[in-house]
Amino acid sequence: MSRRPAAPGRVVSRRRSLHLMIGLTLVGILAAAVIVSFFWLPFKPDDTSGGRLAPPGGGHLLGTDKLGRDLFTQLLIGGRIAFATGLGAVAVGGVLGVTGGLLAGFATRWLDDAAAVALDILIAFPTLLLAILIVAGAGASLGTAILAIGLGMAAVVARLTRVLVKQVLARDYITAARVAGVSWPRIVGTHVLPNIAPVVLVNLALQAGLAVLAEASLSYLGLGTPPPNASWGRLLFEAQATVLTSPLAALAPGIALVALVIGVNLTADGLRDLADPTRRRSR
Amino acid sequence: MTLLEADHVGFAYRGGKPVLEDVSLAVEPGRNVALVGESGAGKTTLLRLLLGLARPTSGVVKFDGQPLTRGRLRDYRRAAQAVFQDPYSSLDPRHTVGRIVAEPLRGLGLGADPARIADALDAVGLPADAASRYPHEFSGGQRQRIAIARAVVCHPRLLLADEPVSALDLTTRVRIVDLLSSLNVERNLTILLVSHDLGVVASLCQQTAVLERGRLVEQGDTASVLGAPSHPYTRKLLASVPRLPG
Amino acid sequence: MSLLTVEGLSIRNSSGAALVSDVSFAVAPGDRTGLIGESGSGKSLSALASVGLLPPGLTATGSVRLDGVDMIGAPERRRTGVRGRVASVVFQEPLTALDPLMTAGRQIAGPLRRFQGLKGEALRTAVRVALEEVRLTDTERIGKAYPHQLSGGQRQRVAIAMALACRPRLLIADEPTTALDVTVQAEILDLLDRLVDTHGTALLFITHDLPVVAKVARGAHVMRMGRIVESGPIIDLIARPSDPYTQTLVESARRFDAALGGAEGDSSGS
Repeated sequence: MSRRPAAPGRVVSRRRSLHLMIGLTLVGILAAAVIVSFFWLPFKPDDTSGGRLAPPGGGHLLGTDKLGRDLFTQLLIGGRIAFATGLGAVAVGGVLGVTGGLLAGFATRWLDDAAAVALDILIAFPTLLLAILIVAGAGASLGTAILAIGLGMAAVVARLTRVLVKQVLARDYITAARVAGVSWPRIVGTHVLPNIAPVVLVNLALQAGLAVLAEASLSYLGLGTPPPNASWGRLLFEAQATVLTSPLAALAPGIALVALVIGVNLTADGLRDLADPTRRRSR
Repeated sequence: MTLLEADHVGFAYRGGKPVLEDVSLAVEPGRNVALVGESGAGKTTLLRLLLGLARPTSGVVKFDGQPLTRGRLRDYRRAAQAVFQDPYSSLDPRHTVGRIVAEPLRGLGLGADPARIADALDAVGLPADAASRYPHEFSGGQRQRIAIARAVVCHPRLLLADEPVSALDLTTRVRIVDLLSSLNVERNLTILLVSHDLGVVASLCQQTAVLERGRLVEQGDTASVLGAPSHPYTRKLLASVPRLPG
Repeated sequence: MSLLTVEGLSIRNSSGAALVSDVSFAVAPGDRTGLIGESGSGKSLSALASVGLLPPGLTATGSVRLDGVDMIGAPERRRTGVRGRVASVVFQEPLTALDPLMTAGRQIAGPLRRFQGLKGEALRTAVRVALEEVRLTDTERIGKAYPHQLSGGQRQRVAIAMALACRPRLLIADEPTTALDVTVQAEILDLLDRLVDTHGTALLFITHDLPVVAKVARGAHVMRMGRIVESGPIIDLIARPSDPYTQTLVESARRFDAALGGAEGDSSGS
């Protein structure tokens, strides 16, 4: 029948658990640094006592920027923004997207067709373009950026959720639950959500990585929060002019950004296995 | 009194051709009924109507002699449960067997007493410790037993079974048919069997109705329908069954 | 000489578990052999190994000779040549076996062009003949239809036409009627029976359904848990099964057969 050979599956899942470990380590280190930053910072964000464009050393781990502010301090503060964006956008996109996708998944005929077309149009708009339009209209702030990125994400999540819900609704265990007298809200809670959750959660984790990148891009374009509370994207933008003389100012936020996005993606990939009982218990 | 009845039932999707036309079928307590037909004949649609999952566009479905209304659905669900064809699709992979079997008890507000779950598992020949395991740990035949345990846990009077053995191997098929006929005797469970396998039909059902393209073309005692078929379609079906030589 | 000789065939998955152990059988030209077993018995894997089509991750040992070519050791290019020319396969689910993006006519034309070098009008005629041969009447429409526009029975006929188009000497049918309705199953079995007869094609028929295999095969091997437990003429296997598993299998089949009694059937149960 459709029985897959056992061994390749196991190889895949061993690779997955390695992904999960590396991913969680990367995200964990960055998260720890961000948490620490709330209690302790090497310098005050607006402290310019280090002198302009100082090289690393003398208490300034990464040197200073062109106004004399400590770069490492700014990197930590940028981390806060990166995490806030990732979590905030996922919250907005997840709640809106899953709700919308559920409704569309249950909708019948023309209503469902309308929802599908609307979602496709929304998705055809690049998230970044949508975010630029919203931020340009509503004014640059971290809140607007998160909201804008979250909205773009919601469309993607909604479309995925809609398809998954349709698949689950076609299964016989849904009919069995109806025959067993289970109400629709409970069917959603006990059958639909648990069965779509793994795929949706993995997707949300991937989207979190994209959200961080999107915010960095917005900031790089000057649509993020200005220094001294700059995000990594803004730091990259600021370091652009001096990249030849003090490359660390550009490299540090760049590496932090790449590490976070890779960490989030690896974690998402590794998570796939965890929520699946057919993988959890193998004979 | 009839347990379940389709009274001149018709069904069509909006703007579509009728799937069922003027179907009248009665299930008497204790007499298993087979609904025979091929894919596209409307068997599954009729079953959905009889399960109260969809409403007929014409005619009525009656339970205990009274029309099956929304208000009576809960009582009906306590009296009639279902088993489906594909035991891989009919069990939620994320629920333990115990939780799956308990679903009708919870859904119908009867309280998920572990003793009743153990009793249902025992009735289908599964060990009590199966309750803490997941469906993927079981074979196709065992999964179908789990699905049957779920269907009989609330002691229904009627079981509507949609091709319950056609996805199973031959030897497993025999065991599940044996299980169904023992439940029929021991639990006073009347079975409405949807099937295209005439051998299974003949082993399990006293009465047979033949559905062809949305219409019942023949019905009566299984012995006479299969022994002396009057409709050409029934004859064709019978002639198509591969028989053992010698 | 045998067309297909399988000797000491074992198949293991990549973690080393044996799925098929020490299976030996042979199919002579024009022979009709059944491979009977339930899911997981290794019957399909044995048949796939016979044409060198094992799924990735599985390894075969032992000897499989198809028209003299070693289907385990020979290079892929040689095996492919034998596959199209000497042996072809019909699968259980014609919807997945056919390319959904190609019309039935083009799918049948594929092997005809490849192996017989037909083109143009000759190719069109050959396709029509192939469709007529599987008793598809409306050849014009069906040749232009995509798989999803055909019924299950029509699809399986197209798949059979494709498999037989180049007159292979061995046809492997892997549960070709399991997904079909009874009346369609009867027609397809009939068709296979006749086609194999007309062209003298050897048939290796794989199924779990004893009465079905009894209709088309003469000799059979009963497989269980990767091994052949009993072999012999199918009439004898059914009348006097000696292995306990074969006995269970025959009893099961007899149960349903007996329930039908002598009703309209071609022969009565015990």
